[in-house]
Amino acid sequence: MKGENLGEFEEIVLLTIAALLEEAYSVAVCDHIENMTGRRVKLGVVHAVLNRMEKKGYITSELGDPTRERGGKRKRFFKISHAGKIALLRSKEQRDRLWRVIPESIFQGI
Amino acid sequence: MKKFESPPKWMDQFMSFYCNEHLLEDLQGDLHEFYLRNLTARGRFMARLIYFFDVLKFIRLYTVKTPKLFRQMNYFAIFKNSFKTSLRSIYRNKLFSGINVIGLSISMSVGLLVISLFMELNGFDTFHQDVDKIYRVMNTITDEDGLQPYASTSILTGQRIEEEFTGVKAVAITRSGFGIDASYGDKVIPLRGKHVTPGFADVFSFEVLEGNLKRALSEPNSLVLTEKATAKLFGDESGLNKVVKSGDGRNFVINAIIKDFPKKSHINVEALCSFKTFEEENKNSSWGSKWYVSWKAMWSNHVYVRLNEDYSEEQFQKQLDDLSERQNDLNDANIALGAITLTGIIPGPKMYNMGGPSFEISILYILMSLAAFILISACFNYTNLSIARSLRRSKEVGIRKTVGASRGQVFFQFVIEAAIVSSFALVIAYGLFFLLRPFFIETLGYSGEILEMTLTPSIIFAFILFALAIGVLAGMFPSYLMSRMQVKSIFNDMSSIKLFSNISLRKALIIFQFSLSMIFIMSAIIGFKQYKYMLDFDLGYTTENVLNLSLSNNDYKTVETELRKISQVKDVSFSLMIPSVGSMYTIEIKDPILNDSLDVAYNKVSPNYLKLHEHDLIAGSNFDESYVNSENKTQLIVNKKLLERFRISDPEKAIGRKFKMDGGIGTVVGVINDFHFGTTENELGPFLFVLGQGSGKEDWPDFYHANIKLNKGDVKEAVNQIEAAWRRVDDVHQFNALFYSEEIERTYAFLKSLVSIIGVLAIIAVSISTLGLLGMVVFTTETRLKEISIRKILGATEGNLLILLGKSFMILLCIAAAISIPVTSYTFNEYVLQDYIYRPKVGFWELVGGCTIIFLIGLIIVFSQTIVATRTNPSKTLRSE
Repeated sequence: MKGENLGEFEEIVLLTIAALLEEAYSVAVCDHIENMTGRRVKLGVVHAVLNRMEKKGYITSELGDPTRERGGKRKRFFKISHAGKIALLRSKEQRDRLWRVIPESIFQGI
Repeated sequence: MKKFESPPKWMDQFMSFYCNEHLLEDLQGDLHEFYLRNLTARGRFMARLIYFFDVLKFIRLYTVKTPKLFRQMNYFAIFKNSFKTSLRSIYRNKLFSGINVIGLSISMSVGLLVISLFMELNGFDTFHQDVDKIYRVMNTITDEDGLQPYASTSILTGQRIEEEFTGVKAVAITRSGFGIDASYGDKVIPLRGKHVTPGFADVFSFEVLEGNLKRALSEPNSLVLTEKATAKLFGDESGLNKVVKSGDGRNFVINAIIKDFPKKSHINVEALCSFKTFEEENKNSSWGSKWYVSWKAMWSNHVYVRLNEDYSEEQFQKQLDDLSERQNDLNDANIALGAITLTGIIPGPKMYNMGGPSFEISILYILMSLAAFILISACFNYTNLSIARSLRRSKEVGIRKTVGASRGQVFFQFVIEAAIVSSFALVIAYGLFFLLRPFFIETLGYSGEILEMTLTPSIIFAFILFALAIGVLAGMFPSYLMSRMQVKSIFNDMSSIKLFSNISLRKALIIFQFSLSMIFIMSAIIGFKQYKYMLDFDLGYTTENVLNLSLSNNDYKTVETELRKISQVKDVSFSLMIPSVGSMYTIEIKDPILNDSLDVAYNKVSPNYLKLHEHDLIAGSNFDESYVNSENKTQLIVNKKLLERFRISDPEKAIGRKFKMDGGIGTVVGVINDFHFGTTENELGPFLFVLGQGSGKEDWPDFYHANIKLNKGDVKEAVNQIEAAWRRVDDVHQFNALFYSEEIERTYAFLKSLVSIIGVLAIIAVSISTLGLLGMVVFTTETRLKEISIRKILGATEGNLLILLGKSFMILLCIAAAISIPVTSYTFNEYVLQDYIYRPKVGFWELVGGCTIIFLIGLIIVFSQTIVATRTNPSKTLRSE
């Protein structure tokens, strides 16, 4: 069904949020993705995806405490929701299923 | 903290301006974080630049705030509420709403007429391609009377433009006066139209149905017919390439058929003939084969040009100036060439020789300003009554304001109310528009002939806009006053609101309305008097029972024998033109003794003409009936002014004087008294009667009209017999006869239109101001009801009360009269009747009479309302106190 599956970038962001635990706010998400995958990601893209996924209910967010950094602005921390976790698992399961039917011979020599 | 740690404030402010609040804080924080990173990595400038672009980049659908309008959907609820209260208030105050709606709708119907007139006229000639590049060349002659603008120009001008000018794409020369009686099979149809050059096809974009327009206009004896004319001649057959015969036996080929000229075209004829045909006709003229191509032969030709896209009017005008300068030097003339845009012809400035339908722009402006006055008057009613009644609505305003309505909202509410009233009025005005339209078009007379005033969507749209504008205009001031009311004073101390603080304003409005009504009434009376005066004007000869019949090129002798058979015909004379109805023919005469020449108005007449019209002979004799004009000799009868002009003091001495004229010599045989051969706009001047005998030079007829003097008796029967006689002579041309009195009436038809329009407007203005007065009187008596009751108890008589209540209104009327009488008499004496040299004096009675009518109406209203108030039982009004 369309719409229930995660997009590729959505999946990456969701995984990152899951990995970052309590520290998942937008800038950290950007940095983490960059560190882990080597892909350069723009804040604008991440922000839009976060906003979209929050609307879909995959993640929840909460404002942190104000600090003296960032001009005194609070951070918005994201947490993966139950629905998000299910989506991730399903996505992984789909892939595993597909992987399982591929004969190993195909990847020989790589 | 370092100094440059945070990005510029204005960028943040911009972001908070557009960004949704729940996203703003953390997003801004994120950007700050990046800013800080960039600051250390790339320096301040780059950091700021990136920050700026980031701020811009985040303007996205999901970040941007929803506009205020959508957020505050309760605006709609407020609107709904205002709408409802407005309707209720309109419904509750039936009298006042009625006065407003009626007044507005009557005045708006006038406005609608003018709007549709304006839009229709501005649509004239707009159907041509690139119409803004088409110009008509016009002549302006400077003579002793000043500048005389003519729509016509010389053929020479057209040809020179074609040959010499740069920047001109195409030139069309048209010459009026084409007319043949075309016969095909056994049908004979008179065709009237113009001779035009091939350029006509390039300048204009009239729709061609069959054939090639340009080719058709290039060949001699080639005709272009409209669909209608084709149908008349050939019925259902196609007319293309058919040959028709003219009355004098020439063959014409129909080489193209065009769609009927649109009604909104200033050129509107049934047939076009190639200009080559005209050239061929005149090849052997005794005036020389090219007599019509001269700088001064400018009376029946129109020249149109289509300029190149990049060529401006100024550049074209410069070339025209050059041309006229050169030609004036060569020809000893004073003619200036000018250009007028095609769409500027209708409506356009007044010019002579329009050669087709026209509509003076000044008439349009006069009508527009008159309508504006009427509308303002009706708006004042609304304003006035609303202000007067504002106290009644003050509590509503107070509650609205307490609940939280802003001044703007209160203002808005009352403006809506006014707009609702004006929308009601529009519906009625729309109906009135249809009732008034035929009357309006008819009243405009000659000018109205080109009008249809059909409604188009854009006109209806204009009507609606107009109604809303009127509503807003009328409601603006009272709404402003209402919205300014202070809540505190409304509830705390009612008496502190200065209810009558605007009383002087309201009085001024009433004075304005009544001055306007009085001016309209007086104008109508004066105009009517002038019109009557002109109709009954003593011309210096008799026009009674004279029927003028157009000869349409028939032999006058045949017509005469037929006419004389009718018993009621007393006498028949013939003439070239009919004097005193606006047109004039001139001829150049030269006195060989003084060696002085003069362009003088003249008429060619049969010998008995002067007797039939009872001209006053003061010396010499009438034309000699047995005299026969030879090649270059003829007889003349002149008037006293002509003698004055040639310094002949004694009329007797004038007899036998000879004048050179147009290649011949005329001998004066008689002198008559001066008479008014022009209109009342012209002063008496020299005039010349030439003896005519059928046909003159080039076989051009001497006579175009038969003047039939009838015996008193059954005139209608006589006219029927004359028509029957006409049919025996000519069954092709229309029977075209008018009594002299009818012709004179027609001459002054414009004035008649103006008088009737002003008359109607006067009635409208009076009814509007009367309605307004009624409203004010009702309101005043209502509010003073208690005072009246107390006065009555204390012993005031009805008469006392009448004076008390009516006095202030009567004073207003007096002031209005004091303003309007001098204004009217000044305007009429100095401007309106300026052009009329012969006119009745604007007298005391016209002025006072007009005012008296208004006074009477005012008195009746005040009296009737006051009497109701004074007759009420005091116990009823005072019981509850």
